[in-house]
This record gives sequence, structure tokens and C-alpha cells, in this order.
Amino acid sequence: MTSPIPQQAHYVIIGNSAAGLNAVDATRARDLSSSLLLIADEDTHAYSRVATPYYISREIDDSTLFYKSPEYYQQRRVTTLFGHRVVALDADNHQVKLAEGTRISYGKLLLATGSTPSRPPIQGLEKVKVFPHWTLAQAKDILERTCLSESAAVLGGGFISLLTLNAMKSLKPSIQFTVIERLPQVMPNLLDEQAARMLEQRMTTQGIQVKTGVEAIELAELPDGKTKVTLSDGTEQRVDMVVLGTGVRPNVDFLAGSGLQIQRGILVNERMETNLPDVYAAGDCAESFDLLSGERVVHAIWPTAVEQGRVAGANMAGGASAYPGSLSMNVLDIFGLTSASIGIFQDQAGLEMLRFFDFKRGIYRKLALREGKRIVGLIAVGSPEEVHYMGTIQSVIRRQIDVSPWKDKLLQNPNLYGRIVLEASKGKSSSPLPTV
Amino acid sequence: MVGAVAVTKQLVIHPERCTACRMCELACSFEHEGVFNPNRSRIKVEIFAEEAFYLPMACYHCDDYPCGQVCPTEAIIKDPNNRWITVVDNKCIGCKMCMQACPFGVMGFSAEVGVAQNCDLCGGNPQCVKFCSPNALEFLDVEETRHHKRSMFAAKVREAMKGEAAVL
Repeated sequence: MTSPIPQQAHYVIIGNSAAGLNAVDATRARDLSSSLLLIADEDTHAYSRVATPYYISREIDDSTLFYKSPEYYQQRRVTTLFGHRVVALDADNHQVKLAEGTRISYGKLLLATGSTPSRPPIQGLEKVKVFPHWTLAQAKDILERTCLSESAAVLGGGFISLLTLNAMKSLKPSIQFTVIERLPQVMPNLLDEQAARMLEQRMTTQGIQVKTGVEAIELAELPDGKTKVTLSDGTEQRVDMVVLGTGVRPNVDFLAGSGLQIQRGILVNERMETNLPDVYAAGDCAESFDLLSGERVVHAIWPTAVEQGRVAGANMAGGASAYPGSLSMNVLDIFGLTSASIGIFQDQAGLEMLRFFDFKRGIYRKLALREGKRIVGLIAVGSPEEVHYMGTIQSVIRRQIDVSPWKDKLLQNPNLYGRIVLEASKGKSSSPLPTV
Repeated sequence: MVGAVAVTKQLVIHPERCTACRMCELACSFEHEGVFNPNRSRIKVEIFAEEAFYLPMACYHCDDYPCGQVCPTEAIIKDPNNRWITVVDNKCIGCKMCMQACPFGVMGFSAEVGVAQNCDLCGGNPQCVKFCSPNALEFLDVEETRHHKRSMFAAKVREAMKGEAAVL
């Protein structure tokens, strides 16, 4: 059934995931009467992109995957246009244009278009079937092909690649995997070298071949249906499927020529406003700023999308919400190892690094300190217990509390972070929680 | 509503009374997991031995709960009637974003089930409170809690004003 396409709406939100939907909630908390139109190119009500790996491994069913019911939109008086792609923005006329040519006028527009898997310059990439993992349709493809495969090459050793690999391995343990990462370590955005080695070792003991410091330079389909992957070190892999996991990039191509300021993503200020009037951006497609360095950054992670969506939604409806800047954070639990990181944690000049190893319990912790007393990031690898103090330490990082009185005990006793926050809050009425 | 309780009760913690006996942890793990194992307790006593300071910590059931806001499958829900936060096991994918988001570090994880786990106040009848002999844990009506805070604050003012003539 096709519903008529509205010609205008007060709020138009493009994107049906974390940023877009949190914006819906924040907008509707302030304004339930104005019209709100949500446009998304996938023809389905919202599902959780974070959950698709668990869909591949068959650990969850549709009721978990589709975390928003169709009633969600009705209850919030949201008109939906699913399966429609916006192809252009005409800011002068306050209009967006759909692929079929329809123009829709907006009062306020939110661009929450997310990311799309990047396609690295590999010869033959366009000619062979590869398997990126971002949408549900792609997850379904992977699920289907995994069942028929005995070997797989995973291009890229980042977050999504390894989660996908882990899911495929749970579904079909007999598959022979090879991970090919261009950089000298897996998970370059999430782990430092030491932590990455721990993870690589786990992978190797589980029979996964990990090749770092090499990249795929050519792909070709063989007569038997397999794909030949030629690597930069001169070796070859013949595999049943190739998973493309070499990162994502903001979905902003359709905005070229619109007058929007775009670098990697759409540039936004702390109110999530772009340079164009009444146009906001949030989530993976937005280029905001890092909480700690103040530098422009795209943090394509779920928590950032949630926070930015709420800020954008509130401000679109006349609120005065400010985004404090994003803090990079990730947690990954694969191959029996939990690893988590926050903020800045790679060795660099001007930062003091404190390290802690507990070989017996398989724990590695690393703290990065600015001026020798303010925490700007950490890595923790070990059991799920290691994630416990991540939220508390976030308060310490966000408020840049001086930790020098506790410095020598921090790594051994992470429970101190709560104590530090408490001490710093004494005499202050301000909430230690980031308020969005 | 199953297991209905007074809608306005909350867990109140008095660290100055806590002796770190950790009976609360045993009661909790026994109630939820059927074993006496502090590692599987949802309430944890943080021990600062050199200062003899002990602080039992469990979910605060925040109004504006960051764990639920960030949950990518909406597995963390708050019942508007009884005001506690629960993880819906079959919706939780174990991604641990809630643990990362919790400002108090009290969202736990069950390695056995592979899901996040927090204090659920035992459905309105918290066992830790029952077994806390020094009464460091209490399950009080919100109004009583307010009263308690009020008297504590009044006592502080009284202490500060000792020897001074009451101005008002």
C-alpha cells in the first residue's frame, strides 16, 4: 500500500536509526502538534543496526531486531516515508527532493542519514560479489552466504569486521577465516598495539588467520565460484566469500552543491545546526567536535548518535540544548575477550601513559593522562568486569578532574573513580551526569 | 500488576553503618542465582580498607537513566508505576553499552546468560535489606527518605550554628 507523499511538513527528519529516532523523541517531548515527516531509504520500520551481528548468528529474533514497533510512529504522530531516498537539498526554497522527483517543503530539517560502508580502491572490486555489513539486507546476504561457505576473507580488522566474523563463526564454526588489515594491528580505532596483540592471539588460537600490515590489491572471480584475493605481500587467498569491512563514511554525497559545509561529514555547531538556516545534522553523517581535543571529528558510534539526535531534536522544537562534544567510546566482547576504550589512548607526545598488567587474570589496563593529572582516555582488556567502571571514569574524563592524589592506585583499583567523582562533587550542586 | 508494591519506595544506603560483612551480596546472589557467590551479586560492597570506609553500591534506578537511553534494542525499561529499571533478558544482546553509560558503574553483566544485569529490587522485596544487620541498607518510602535527608541537613546546620544566637 502506498500512502500519498506529503508536500510539506514542519519537521522533516531523514534517517530512521539512533540519531533520527532520538530526535523524534526529543522533538515530540516539546511539540506534539506540528507535523513531522520521517524519510528513510530502507523500506522498513526501524531495526537496530547494533543488533544485526546477533541476527546473523541467530541469537536474536525479529522482535529484538525491530526494536521500534510500527505503533511507535503512530503514537508520536510521525508520518513515515520508508523506501524513499532523498537525492537533493534545496535550502533556498526549504525543500528536499526525492528520487522520484517529488519535492517536500520543510520548516526544520534534520539530516540523520548515517554512514555507508566505504569501498577501498581494490582492483576488481566492482566485478565480484563482496559482502559489506551495514544494513539488514546486507546482514541477510551474509547469513545466507555463510551457510554455504567453508572459507572467508575479511577485508579490514575493525569493529564491524570482527563483530561480523564473530557472528559468522558462531553460526558456522567450521569456516576458515582470514582477516586482512592494512594497518599493523587489528582494531586501530579501539585498541592500542598491546591490546590488539592480546585479541589477535585469541583469534589465532581459535584458528583464525590474522594478517596485519597487508592489504587486498585485487579481487577476481574464479570459474569454480570462489573469489581470489591477491594481497600486497604477494600471497593469494581463494575463498567462498569476501566480507568488506574497511570502515564506513558519512552518507553525504547527495548533499553536494546544496551549499552545506561538508568536510568528512556535515559540519555542525554545538546546537547541531549546520551553516544553512533550519537545517540540522546528527549522528554518523555529522562532523561535530571532540570533547577533549575540541577538534572536528566524526564519531560514527551509537551513543554519539543518540546524544546528538536528542540535542538536535530539542533545538529544532525551540529548545536550548547544547552538545558538549563527543567522547569516543567502544566496547567489544568477542573471542572470549572483553575490550573497551574511551577517549584518547594511543601513545603520543604530551600524554603520560600508565599501564597495568595482571597476567594471571588476563587483564591489561592503560590510562592516558594530560599534564600528568587529568585522564583523557583509557583502554581496558579482560573480562566483562572491566566495563563496569567505564561510566564512572567517563564522569572523571568529562569533568577533567585532577586525579593526582590517587594516581598511583588508579590502575589497580578502578573503584576509585566513583570515589573521585564524589570527592569532586562535594560542595558542588552540579550533577556529575552529562546533561543532554 | 504482578508483585505490586508501594510505588514510591527506594533503596537507601548508609555507608557509615556498613561493616563490609557482605551479607547483602550473599542474599542477592542466592535470591537471583540460587548460589552464595558474591561475584554474582547485583549489589557490591566497595571496600576502602585503609580508611575503613565501605560503600554498598547497586542500581540507583535513575529518573533519566543513561543505560536505557543508549540501549540499542530498548532492552532496559522502566516501569512507570513502580519506578525501577529492569533488563529484559531476551531483548538484551549483551553489547555492554549500558555498562559503559552507567555513571555509577552499577550495571552488571551475567557471563552465564550473556546479558546485562542490574538490581531489580527483588521485585519490591529486596533481600539485601532483610539481611543487612547494621541497617546500612534500608528500603524506604520516598517521603521517609526526604525526611531523613532533611533531618541530616538540619543536624548539620545545628552543628554549624552551635553557640550562635538564632538569627531568625
